[in-house]
Amino acid sequence: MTVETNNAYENCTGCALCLLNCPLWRSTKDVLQTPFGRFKAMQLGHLSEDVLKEAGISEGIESCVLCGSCEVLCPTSSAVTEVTISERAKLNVLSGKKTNQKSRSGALAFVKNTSEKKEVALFIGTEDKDTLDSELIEQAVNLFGGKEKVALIEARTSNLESALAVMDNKEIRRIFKGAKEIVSFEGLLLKPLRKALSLPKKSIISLGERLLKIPKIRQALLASDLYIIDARSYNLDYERLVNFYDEVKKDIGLSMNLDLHRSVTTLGRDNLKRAEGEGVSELNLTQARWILEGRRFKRIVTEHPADALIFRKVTDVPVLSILELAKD
Amino acid sequence: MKPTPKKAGTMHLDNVAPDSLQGIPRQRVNPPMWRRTSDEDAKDTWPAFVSDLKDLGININEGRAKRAIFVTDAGGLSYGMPDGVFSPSSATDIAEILKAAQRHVVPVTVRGGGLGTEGEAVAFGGLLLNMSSMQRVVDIDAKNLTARVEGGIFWHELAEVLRRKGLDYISAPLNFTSTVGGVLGVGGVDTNSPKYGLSADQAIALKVVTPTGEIVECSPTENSELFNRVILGYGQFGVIAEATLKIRKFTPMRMNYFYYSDLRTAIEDLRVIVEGEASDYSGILTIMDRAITLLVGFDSKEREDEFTKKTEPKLRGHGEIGFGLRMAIYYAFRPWKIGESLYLLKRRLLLFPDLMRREFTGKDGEIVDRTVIFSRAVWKHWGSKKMTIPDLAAPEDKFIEAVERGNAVCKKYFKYYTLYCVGIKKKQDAGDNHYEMSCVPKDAVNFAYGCEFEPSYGGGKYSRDKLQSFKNEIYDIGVDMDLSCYRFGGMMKGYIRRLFGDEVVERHLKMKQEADPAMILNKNTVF
Repeated sequence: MTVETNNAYENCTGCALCLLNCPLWRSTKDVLQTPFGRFKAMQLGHLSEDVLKEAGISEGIESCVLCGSCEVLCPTSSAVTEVTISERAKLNVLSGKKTNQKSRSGALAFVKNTSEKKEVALFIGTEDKDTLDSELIEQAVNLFGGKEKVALIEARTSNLESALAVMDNKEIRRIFKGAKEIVSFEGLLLKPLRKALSLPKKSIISLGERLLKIPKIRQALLASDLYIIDARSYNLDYERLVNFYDEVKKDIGLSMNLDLHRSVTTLGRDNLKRAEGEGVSELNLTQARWILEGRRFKRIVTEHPADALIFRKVTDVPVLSILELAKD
Repeated sequence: MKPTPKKAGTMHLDNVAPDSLQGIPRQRVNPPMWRRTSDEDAKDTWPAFVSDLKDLGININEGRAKRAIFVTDAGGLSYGMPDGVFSPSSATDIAEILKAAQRHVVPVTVRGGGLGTEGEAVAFGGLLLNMSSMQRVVDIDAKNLTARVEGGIFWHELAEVLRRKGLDYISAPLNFTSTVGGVLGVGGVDTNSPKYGLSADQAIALKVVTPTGEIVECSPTENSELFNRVILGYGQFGVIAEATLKIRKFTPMRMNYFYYSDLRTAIEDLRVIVEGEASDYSGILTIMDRAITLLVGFDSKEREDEFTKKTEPKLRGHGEIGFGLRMAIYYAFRPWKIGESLYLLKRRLLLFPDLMRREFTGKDGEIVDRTVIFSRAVWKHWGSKKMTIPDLAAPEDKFIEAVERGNAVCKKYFKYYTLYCVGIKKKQDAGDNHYEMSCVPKDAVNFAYGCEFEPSYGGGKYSRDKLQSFKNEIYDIGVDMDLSCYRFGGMMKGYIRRLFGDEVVERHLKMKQEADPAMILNKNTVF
């Protein structure tokens, strides 16, 4: 464990604010599965492997959807998501999973293309791609200038977090060479990309933020919409985005999946790829119902296309992704 | 039939007896309150207790990591390890736990958010009942403005649910992870307490699990004796499984700030506002006794305008620019105080932006989420792994002296500290003994006032003994002036008889012994 992540749990004061918008807490009411519970246990001598093996803690590490709402709320600004990713990677090794073995050989193992000679790099994870209609991806490419300008870069790992943990800056620079703008479907990728590349922050942004800057898209949103922000993109970039989304909210008059702290309540989409059957877990449904509870709206517009799949399970109102708004 | 302890002496029945008052226990670190492993009669007690409950489908978690989460509280000075943890999902769960605890004489410590500072919710052995698992809003009656909630619900969760319906709770502590049940047991002070009183006074009905495991509905008109004992009862007379609270329509808060460099003047002005009922929210927040901010808030522009016209001219505080200039002149002639002036400036620059964050304010600068702002600021700027917040609660006429004496103690112990003062409106139809043995002092007429004294460690290292001595010295003022305190349980329980007197304590002890024959519920917190 790095010094940085070590400090994250050492700094925990036990205020438990991280529970307030945690989907695992809402779903399980098990403190041990939350950052507060894990960090307190670690402070009390349950370090690394001991913690990871103990029932409850390992479940929390595995089930965490990495939405980052805890980081928005943490008064000590602990890097909870980084710690969780690091713990999960360890857990995988301890349990004999080989999810990150390929990734260790380098970023090439999980990236399909490079953005050389293209102005815009559209970064998409395999899990995202699997849950998306190919038409929607094409729609995104067209919105950003068409195939001539846009390189679709696909992460081909089944464990994006583990891949991130070993992502090499040199490789990132090679993959994104020449790109003037990077738009990512996956919020978790924004931080390492910004760290590795010399592009300004505003040029490495999430799909949602990028789309909301297109007048045609904004005009298609209605005051009666419930707009579902992608939690990872927003929460992990909270200080920069909180006022941007507040402006959108005020401009259009719609409601959003923000809690009182202005952190985004996630659907727990990360669980989508882990779930069996129809691909929607109980956690997804609990979160979807909680987001809708007591709110008035006539339509749901999701920033991430995959979130639309979950909402369609719990409501009869029209649900569409923001990419669909661009259709003529 | 009420169960009786297995054997007299297995647990002390009266640890507030006169002989327990020789000296003030300065800290409690794993005291031998329950020697289940060394007592022949008791050594099989825990396994039998766990086994009995398992037969009922109640599985106690004995894993070390789970128990370790609850090893201390927000104070971080009191440490104790429970033998097991259980997170109930219903009043029935709690009832079964308490019945078994009475049979086996196993102490049960009830924990909500764990935000006490004196180890009140730290289990020194026995079972820790983690109430935060009971987080449901059972019902909202928007017409009659009431909400029924489970006892372990965080105030934040309640606020989230209510706000989506344009509603709000009336009064809650400035801390979102405190629970409704925990707060109703001790009081709950908000910046609108001068208008509405304690959070505990917003409860109109309860579902209580008594220490012997009966589930009882109670209110001021139904089983009123139990209701009165449980409200402000410091968790001694039952576990709050559900509560019905008064709620209100949501309104953002319009905030005004007045700045002072003299503590007495600021408190006098606070009294003018509180006793004149001139605002909807008020309080004093200081940086030592040099930079004092009087916060005054309103639910409507009309109220604010009325205040501006009638009350503001009577106040002696300054605006921010005027105060800044006065401070600059003061420190310009006192260059040896450069360190202090820089600290004040730094504190001002760090804290105030967080009190005025754009995302939490409306277009006219009104605060949309007051508790969000204050709760975040409290943890960010005052939170730490060790928190020491002794307090004094005084009637109207003794408040200024109490704060000044407490301030002198702060100066003696710490370079930097904060005072937080607030008024509390007394419930007028509460009955004679409603506030007995509570944070509201007995001779308060219409309003009580509370002041918290919180050191700012600023990276400094302080021994536990120093922190405890500081607390003791503050509480000594309370004893000397015949005041009350908010945090009189746990590590500060040695002050209980001195603050409330033998007659009151004996009477409450007798009630406790009748209600809890084995004295298992929140043992050693008060009794």
